[in-house]
Amino acid sequence: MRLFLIFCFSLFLYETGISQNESDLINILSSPPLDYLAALQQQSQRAIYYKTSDLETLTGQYSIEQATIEQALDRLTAGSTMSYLKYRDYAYLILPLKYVMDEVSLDYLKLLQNKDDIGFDGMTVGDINMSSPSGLATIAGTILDGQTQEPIIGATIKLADGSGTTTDYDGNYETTIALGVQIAEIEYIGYQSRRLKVKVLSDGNLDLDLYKEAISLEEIIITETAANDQIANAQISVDKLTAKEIKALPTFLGEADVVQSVLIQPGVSSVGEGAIGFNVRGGDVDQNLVVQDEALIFNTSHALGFFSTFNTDMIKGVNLYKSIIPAKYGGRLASVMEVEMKDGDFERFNLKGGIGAFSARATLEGPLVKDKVSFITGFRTSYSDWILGLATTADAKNSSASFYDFNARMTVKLSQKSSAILSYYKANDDFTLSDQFGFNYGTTMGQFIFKTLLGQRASSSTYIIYSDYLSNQSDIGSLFSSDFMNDINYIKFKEKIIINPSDKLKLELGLSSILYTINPGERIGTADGTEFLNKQLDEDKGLESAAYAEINIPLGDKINIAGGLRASYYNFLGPNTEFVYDGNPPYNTASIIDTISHSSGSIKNYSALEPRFSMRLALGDNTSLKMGYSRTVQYINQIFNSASPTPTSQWQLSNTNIEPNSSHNISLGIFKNYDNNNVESSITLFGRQIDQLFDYKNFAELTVNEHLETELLFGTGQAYGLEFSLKRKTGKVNGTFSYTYSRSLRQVAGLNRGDWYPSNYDKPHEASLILNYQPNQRNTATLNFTYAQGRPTTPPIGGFVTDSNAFVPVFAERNQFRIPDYQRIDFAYTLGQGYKTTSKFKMSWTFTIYNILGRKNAYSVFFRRGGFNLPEAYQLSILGNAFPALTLNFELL
Amino acid sequence: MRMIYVTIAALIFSSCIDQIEFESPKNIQDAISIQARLVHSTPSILNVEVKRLFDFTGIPLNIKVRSIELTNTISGQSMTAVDAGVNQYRIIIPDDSPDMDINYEDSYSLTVETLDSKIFVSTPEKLVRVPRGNQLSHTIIEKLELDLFDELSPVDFIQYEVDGTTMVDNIPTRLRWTFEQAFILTDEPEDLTIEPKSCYTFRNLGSNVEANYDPYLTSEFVLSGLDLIDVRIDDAYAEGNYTIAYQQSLSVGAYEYFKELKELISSEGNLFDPPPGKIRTNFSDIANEDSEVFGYFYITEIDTLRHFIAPEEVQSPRRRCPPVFSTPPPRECFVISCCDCLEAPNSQLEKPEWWTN
Repeated sequence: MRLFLIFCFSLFLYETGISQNESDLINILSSPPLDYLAALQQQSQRAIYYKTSDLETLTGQYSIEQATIEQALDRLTAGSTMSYLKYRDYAYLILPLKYVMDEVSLDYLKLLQNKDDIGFDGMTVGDINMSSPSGLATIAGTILDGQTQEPIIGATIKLADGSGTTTDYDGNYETTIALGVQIAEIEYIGYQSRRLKVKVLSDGNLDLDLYKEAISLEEIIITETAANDQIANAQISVDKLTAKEIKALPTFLGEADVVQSVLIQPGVSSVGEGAIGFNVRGGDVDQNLVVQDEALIFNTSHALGFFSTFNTDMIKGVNLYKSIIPAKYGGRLASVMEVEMKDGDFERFNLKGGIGAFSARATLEGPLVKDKVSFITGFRTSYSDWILGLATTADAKNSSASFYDFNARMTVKLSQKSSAILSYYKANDDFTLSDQFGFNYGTTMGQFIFKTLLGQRASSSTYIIYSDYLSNQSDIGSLFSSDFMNDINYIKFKEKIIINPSDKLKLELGLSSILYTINPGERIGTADGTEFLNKQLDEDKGLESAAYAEINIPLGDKINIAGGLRASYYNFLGPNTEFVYDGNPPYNTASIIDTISHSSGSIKNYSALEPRFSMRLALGDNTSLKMGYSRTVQYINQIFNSASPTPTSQWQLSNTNIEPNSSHNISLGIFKNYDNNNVESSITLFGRQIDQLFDYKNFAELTVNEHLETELLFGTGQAYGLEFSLKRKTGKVNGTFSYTYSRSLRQVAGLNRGDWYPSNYDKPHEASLILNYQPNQRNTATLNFTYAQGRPTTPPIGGFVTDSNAFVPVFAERNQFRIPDYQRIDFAYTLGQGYKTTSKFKMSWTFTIYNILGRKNAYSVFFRRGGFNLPEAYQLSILGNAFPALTLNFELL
Repeated sequence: MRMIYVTIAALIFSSCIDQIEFESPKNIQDAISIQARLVHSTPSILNVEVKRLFDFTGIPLNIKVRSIELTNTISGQSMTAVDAGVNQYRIIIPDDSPDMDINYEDSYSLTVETLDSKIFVSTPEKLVRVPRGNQLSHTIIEKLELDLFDELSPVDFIQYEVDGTTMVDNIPTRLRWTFEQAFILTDEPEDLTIEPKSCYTFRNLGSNVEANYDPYLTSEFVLSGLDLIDVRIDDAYAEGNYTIAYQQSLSVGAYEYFKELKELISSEGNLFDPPPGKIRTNFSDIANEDSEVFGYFYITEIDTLRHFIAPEEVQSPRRRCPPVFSTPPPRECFVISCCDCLEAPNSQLEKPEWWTN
């Protein structure tokens, strides 16, 4: 929306001493608002500022006689939602009443005065329509070596008022700055300092390239945010989300959530609310690699999937690579979700937090040694038991659910060129459903990262990680009450070297090795007389190693290529017991012909070459064509025979009888930006050929089964589809629309007569629409609509009654029917931080309604015996109501 | 606000279950189920039930059978079943029958021929000896259930347990249990000129409970207080109650069948239920392998365990008769079984011979 500015020459007259007196009383005949204001300015000789859209609420004719200017403005705004402010002695500002209640910044007014300053010759950041009346904006960006494109660690950004900040180990910075024209100096030892004139209109990004002192100043390139990243980046099938975007979405019970945010991206889905994990382009949940920095996370879910384990106050952003995965990552077929964690602030302390209906969180960061050592620590916990106590069903009353997660991270700048990071992560869940079953599970993880620049054109990053995921399931109410435990832990080492041989060429080399140790299952009978249930399987060990190289190279102005090769090598390690079967799969226990006990060392190894390739071809300034291919191999799978894994679904390493899964992935897309890169559109075609996968036999026994391979059926799979996305990034009304057509099919001997059948995640049509309405910086309303075709299911199609009068349903072939379609509308309203610039304490409120129509979306369909013994179809809906929630977020500077 | 959180909790942890319309294929009506059990006893009895599958129309779908034949696959002997009611067929085999030897070494197969000349043949089943159970016992347990005021209240249940062994001749045996109760029901006729009488009434227990046990799976061959079934205390315990557990021996195939059956009848489509599958059968159409047939033929021995519970052991629950509510004069029968206990299903005046308490 355009701000209409009336600037009166009387301002200057006033400055020279002319002022209104008694004889200057206002007289205006009946006029519409705009004419009334024009007359008022003329007669009062005062400047009056307003937005024309704000005046749309004023209707009718206005007149006044023998009045002062304030009385005239009162006449105009009386009984409306508008009011006015006097700015010094020479101007008035007409604003919505709610703004007038707060202090309006001088810088904001100055900015309005100078908005049409066409003579400005510096950089501009942000959008004047997004300006905050607080007079402040947050500017963030990255400072890179202009030649090597390596991040510059510790570069300083100084502002004229003496404030400033420094870049972190990734070259990133973030600072709060006054609106208007600012002078900034960027300095770093050995590099040309640069003095910049920047016009700051609102929050925005400012990326800068600095050059070594030998380079002339004229070669310094200053770029505004990479607004054209979508069309300029060679990587295809990647979705990037910032923490701010994640927090803006309407969520269940008001909890900003990483996984829920990922689910609205095209090509990403889940089997429903309460399902653990997510599915990318028809892949299984365990085919997604989730990394927190470089640490693998095996369970991203709290409260059985209603929330994810990431504290959004602790993260910088999320990148989701969908099937076209860079060579630096491997070990999964479908996707990589890369969660980047924040470093603590090196300059000042900051406390952030939130209190919601279900949980609360707090994050504290600051310097331990100013500009040298920082820390950030965050804690989240739920308090749901009191809610359960209010329930009206026996199961709910007799249940308990709680979780917490804790993050701590310390960053040390060892020198101008190197830094070290120590981080710790702990998450835990407890869930008990009535007297039926309970889960307890959690992750403990420690990570050490060392980053350093190697000369002028290279950098090195070293990672050492240990993590342990432990889960326990208690079957309380069954005839054979028992506890079932399993565990997966790993030690990971990774070395990554980035080299920039020339200005435009980037080469990344790396080595990684992960030693997995898995306890596949231990069961202990807990009821009297159930000691016979006690059973523990042998520990499994596997070593997954890889070397990779990836190069990013522009070929002229129009073509960018990112190509790489990953060589993976996997060893299944002893000691372990190997079962030798007669013949080929499918196996059964009757066909075991030998049992071999292996001592330490390699029992079985597999290797693979995994080429990765992505290319971008520019078709004009605002359009590009991208394509990509990747070969992916997976040496570890999660074993679950349900639509969603449980927290205790064990992880299974590839071994002699279970070969690794592998797939070919291709993508082809066209990307076009409009409106000076503010509107992005894309259409992407994708295809996957999975040439080794497994499914489960009917009635498979998966728990504490040393012959797990006898429960598996092996086959192939394919997925293909189209993703369309349209996004408006800024503006009073912005948002995203996406539509996905996707198929995910399997062919497994022994199931469905050997024919192709849909996987559990095959949802051909999915669409989502997110609309944000942000009339000003403080108020944001968001509407989210989600649609998905029903996922496949296997319903009973008839039944019979046994001699004990039990009704036995007879089921169709696997996944031959679909549950009803899924639709959901959510709403969120955020009342942002106030405009008081001096306040050390800021808070905002977020009100959300999840599933605003209270639609009962089916999670599954099942059958019960009804009247006259006839089967009756029922649908199970996980959430069947609208869920309002109010969350308070606060920040203490 | 309270209601919001109550709803949240209820829906998260108990979810919503709604009946829906669901269209199913119609050709399932062509499929049949054959439930057949040969009990080795004195005499041995084969009971067979042949039906079309239920579909969603509610229309009974009976099937005509041309013949049902039991064959001893070792001796080659065979016998033909006779009608025993709608869809029911039976063969009674005396101990010394020259037409059919029933012994542990032989195998038995069932052949069902329908009027449309489809012939379904079972795989051979072997008779497995049943171990004698030591005793059936009970424990009173408490479960929390919602009362009329939506508050959790403790409710007493009787948990039945079995002691015994799975071993017969040093060979472990897979077992299955079905349950029945016999209890005294004394009526209180509204017509005061009619003397009250006491009936012995039978009822099935646990139509949706399948209890079975595989000692090979657990490597535990002694049954010591193995929980079988929980029964809520009601008026069936008010005047004396026998619970009867029929302990059956199963072959490997029959055990796998009942294990799958147990999984199917207990599934309610929750988050973590495995995808259901087609239950196994040991019948096949010899002319068409794609022909749909369900059910199982098995041969078993049964050991019967009975356990008496006196009213005072379960805090003397209220008797069914006279009913809490009654009609004003002139009185009509409000609860039929209280006017005449013989009107209760499966009731008799004769005291069962095994009823010793």
